[in-house]
Amino acid sequence: MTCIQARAQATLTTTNLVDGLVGLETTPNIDVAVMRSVALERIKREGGQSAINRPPIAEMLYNLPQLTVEIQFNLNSAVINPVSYPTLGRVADALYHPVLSAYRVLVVGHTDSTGRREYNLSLSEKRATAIHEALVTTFRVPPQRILSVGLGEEQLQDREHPQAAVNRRVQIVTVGKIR
Amino acid sequence: MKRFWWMTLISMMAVSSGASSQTMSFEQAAVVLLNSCGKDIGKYCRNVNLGAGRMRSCLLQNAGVSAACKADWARVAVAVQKRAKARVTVLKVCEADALQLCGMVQKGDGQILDCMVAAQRGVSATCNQAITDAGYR
Repeated sequence: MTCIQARAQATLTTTNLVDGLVGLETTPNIDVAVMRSVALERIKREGGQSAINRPPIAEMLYNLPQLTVEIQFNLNSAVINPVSYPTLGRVADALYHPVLSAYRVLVVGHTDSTGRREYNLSLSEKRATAIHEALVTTFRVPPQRILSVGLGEEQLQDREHPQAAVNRRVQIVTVGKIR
Repeated sequence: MKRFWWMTLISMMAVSSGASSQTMSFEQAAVVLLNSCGKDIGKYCRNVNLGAGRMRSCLLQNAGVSAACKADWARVAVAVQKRAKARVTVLKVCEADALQLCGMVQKGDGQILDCMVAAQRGVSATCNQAITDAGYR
């Protein structure tokens, strides 16, 4: 499933999640520290350039099994709204499913282009970390199963409309095997 | 009156220990937290995140938070821990049974578990309990 085909679904079931995340064919070389620094360097280099048709920063994510999940956060904050706790629980249920239990996933936070670019990168990173932390602690998903990264407005879903709501999203992407 | 209170207390203890001996899906766990504590979170812990025990600490520290929320949070934490543990250990716990009863099954976690669930009668009590705790039946 490509990024463009992934759609946020309010009623995403555990089965939908499992189906969306199985089928990793080749293991990509994912290094979240590198992704972070590549995003930050591009922001510093390009400064205040328009976001319209901005090329994606992490194209290697496109061909991996993935889903967009709807997680609500408080405004300008990395605090997960309690209405999204059940969605997090569902993600944890999917990650514990026997067909996925040997795989590692990456939580990717994205924003739209409203606000400062660097701030958006930082906010999306904090939000991805908040999800990562809740899955690993509250829902006890083994830590080696999850990575997280924020890409701010560097990987827009609707590149022609950078401020569109569809760009504010959280993706879960299968990125490798743990055994 | 005194006797009534004792009986209430005993029945409450029975209910809570009964509930805490079961596991639940993580989604069900989260729904319990949202329904039981959603209002208190909005009132006392609005800017607190869920993970690393932060929300739990915030709710426990606020005297105004309902006793039901505090009790449900504790109950859910136990159930989540139990299920998580069962999910991680079920294959190990059931290893001997799997070899004996499902030796012919092509090795994949899902297929082995399917076989074990189907073979319930011949499976050891500890393995059956682990399968139940893991929520696979």
